[in-house]
Amino acid sequence: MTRRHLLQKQVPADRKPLKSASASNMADDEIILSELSDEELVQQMHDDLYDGLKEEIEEGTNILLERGWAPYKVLTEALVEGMRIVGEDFRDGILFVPEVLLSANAMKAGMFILRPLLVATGAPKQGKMVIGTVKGDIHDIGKNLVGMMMEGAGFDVIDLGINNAVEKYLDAIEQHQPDIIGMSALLTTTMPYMKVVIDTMKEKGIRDDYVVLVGGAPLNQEFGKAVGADAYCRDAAVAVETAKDFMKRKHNVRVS
Amino acid sequence: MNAPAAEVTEHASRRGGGRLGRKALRGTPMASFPTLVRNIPAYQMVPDEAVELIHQESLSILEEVGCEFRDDEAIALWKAAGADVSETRVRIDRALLMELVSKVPPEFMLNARNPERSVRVGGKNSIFVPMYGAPYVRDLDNVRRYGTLADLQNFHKLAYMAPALHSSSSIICEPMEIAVPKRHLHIIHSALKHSDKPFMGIVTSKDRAEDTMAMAGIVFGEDFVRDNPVLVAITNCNSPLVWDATMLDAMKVYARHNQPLILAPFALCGASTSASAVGAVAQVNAEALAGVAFTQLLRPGSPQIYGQFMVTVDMKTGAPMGGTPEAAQMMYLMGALARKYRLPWRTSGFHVGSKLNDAQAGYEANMLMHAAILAGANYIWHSAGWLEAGLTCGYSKFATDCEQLVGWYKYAGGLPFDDFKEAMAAIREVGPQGHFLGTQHTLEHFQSAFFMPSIMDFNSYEQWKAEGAKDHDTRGREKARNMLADYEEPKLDEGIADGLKDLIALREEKLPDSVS
Ligand code: B1M
Repeated sequence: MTRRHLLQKQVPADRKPLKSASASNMADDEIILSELSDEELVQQMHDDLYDGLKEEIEEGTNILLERGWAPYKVLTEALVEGMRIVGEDFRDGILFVPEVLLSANAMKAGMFILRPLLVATGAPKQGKMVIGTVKGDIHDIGKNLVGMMMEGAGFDVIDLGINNAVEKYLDAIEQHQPDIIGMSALLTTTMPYMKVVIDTMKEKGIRDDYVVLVGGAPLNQEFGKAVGADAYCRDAAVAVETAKDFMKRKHNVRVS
Repeated sequence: MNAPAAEVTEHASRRGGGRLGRKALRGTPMASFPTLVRNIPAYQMVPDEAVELIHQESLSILEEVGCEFRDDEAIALWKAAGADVSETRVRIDRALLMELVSKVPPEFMLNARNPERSVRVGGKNSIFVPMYGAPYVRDLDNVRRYGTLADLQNFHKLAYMAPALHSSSSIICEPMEIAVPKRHLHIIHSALKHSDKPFMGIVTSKDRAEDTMAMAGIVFGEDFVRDNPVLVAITNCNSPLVWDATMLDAMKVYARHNQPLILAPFALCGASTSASAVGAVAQVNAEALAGVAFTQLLRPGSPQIYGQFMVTVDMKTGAPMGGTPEAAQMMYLMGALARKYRLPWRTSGFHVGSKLNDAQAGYEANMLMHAAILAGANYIWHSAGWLEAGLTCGYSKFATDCEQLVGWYKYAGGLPFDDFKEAMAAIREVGPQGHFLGTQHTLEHFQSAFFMPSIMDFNSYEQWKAEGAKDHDTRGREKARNMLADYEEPKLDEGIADGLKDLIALREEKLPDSVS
């Protein structure tokens, strides 16, 4: 666990102090996760997510499961809650993109363990998104950020990459049965293609089965509406919030 | 170097002087500066060995990692040239690469439809070119909204009128109301109609590039545009190390017509390159050289522009930044490499990240332009209008940038010594105590001796207050408004004008109304 120790030392003084970097821990850097109480372990996992420690998150996830925690409880209380903190500090400019990427990777590793168990126990789905840059467009830095933040929030993300014709989206919908379709465009000459995709979904009678989110710097709210998307997302954090909202609504509909 | 005197509008008055005469002399002159001949040394920030090191590393990248060329014809050309090709990956041996690069002429003439506005690019010769690609405008009422054809026409008019701009660019802002498949026709038409300066080509598809060449052919003559540069087109490498089909298609059309391309990885340093200024330059240098070399397979000896500039990424959001110290430092490296290869070099000048034409914009612009000039850039792009990392073109920013360009034109022209003797005579004439405001020397030289901006304000506080206490941004908008009111369209032969209209009509009939 020297890596964690190293990372803690690197955190500048003006950053949010890490819980695990408290005086007692600083003196004794060896933390044995399995010796922590549930509550301490969850706190530690929030810190480990914050620091992007993948192996520690895997270990923590397994320990909680071994202690009989329901997979859904592990997901929401340890992982999603931890990533909520990460998201908040990213929004506030305390955490930077490469650090969030690390956190999201750690989260993904936890999710990898939980996914089959969540399905088996019939836990509410966090959600699945297919995302891609539309035909004619190769800009993908923004889309990649969105995908990463969505994964960080516990979503399954299927990344179709760049330059996607409508068939690619349709194939992916059929194959992966997502909840959300995400489209990105950075060119004014390619953004109208979003309408082609949405119109084709309408023609096939499947438009209303999915939530369609769009984004990219030259888009705006009105454009999103005009092409028939459910929402325009101005950045990755908004995309996550919006996706969560729609998933919540979906679950509510199912329950009622 | 001094700004050339304004063309004097002829007018009939009693003796030709007086108030009217002076007004004509000082009014809004339709003047255009010739090519900027940089008469100051290029500044090299690092020792020769460092430049050599980066060069060697770039060559190793192309030999060991290679570069993607995602197009069958391009791959066939590389194979025929003897490169090591596997699928779309091309590994280029350094001897082959440098042999191809050395075929590019160090300078070329860029022809304008008005021969007086033709310019040279390369070596000591530099030009200023307004921005490209903005979906949004910040308009004359300071409102941010999507661009329209009317806005684009306005920017082409302003580009025509600004003495220190040497080109009208093309898509200064995007005319969003026009259907995408037909848009390029109207963009090029506006540039050719509203200005007589050189312009830029469209690259978003092969057909659009061909349409651009057809329109240029009507204006310059079909034969002429087969061999003589009349436009410049920008093709971006998709860093890291990918030249994609769209760009390669455009390269084929333009290079085969001997039209220069800007081979430009517009990389976001830290996202599309390593987070190291020197590492990033080694990478984009490899990308640019691979692109330049490819054009020489298409047409050996065709003029090309080594194209990079770079911005860093804001690690808080992933967004591109603008006038940062690293962006400026990287320019010095690129400039040194361009000189080593004897290639005309494009960088950008006023490409700021600021949302408004405010103090941030000013700081950023100055950081960047100073480096562009001292690093010896030849094609200084995004030199008017650019805000928000290229998402917005501002009318005020456009006007104030153009005013600053007059200053930079003078700065780069070097320090003239031609009146040194007269200046020394003037001090003898005035002697101790007096002042120089009324001497013959001052009268003769005051107009050209100092930069005389009209948007920047150096008045007394009282005067400034009496004139409405307006900030620089507001005065910039007013200037743009006034310039547009004074605009007169440059003459275009009627046959040519009709030819363009006919071609547009013909193409519009064939092209669909929406993307598919
Ligand atoms: C749920 O779904 C969602 C939700 C939210 C979503 C979402 C999807 N997608 C995005 N979001 C949102 O969340 C993200 C994170 O917060 C945000 O994503 P963004 O992508 O906005 O933000 C990123 C984090 C950072 N931003 C970016 O990565 C884009 C930056 C700019 C500078 C840009 C870049 C970097 C590039 N480019 Co391009 N490029 C520009 C851009 C100007 C700008 N200021 O935006 C723009 C978009 N490009 C432009 C142009 C002209 C071009 N580019 C081209 C190429 C490139 C590069 C390859 C050099 C590079 C892309 C590298 C890459 N791998 O992506 C060419 C086209 C290539 C093609 N076929 O697509 C080329 C045509 C240039 C050429 N002649 O070669 C201009 C648009 C022109 C227009 N009017 O349409 C442009 C505005 C710059 C300019 N002024 O010239 C949000 O928008």
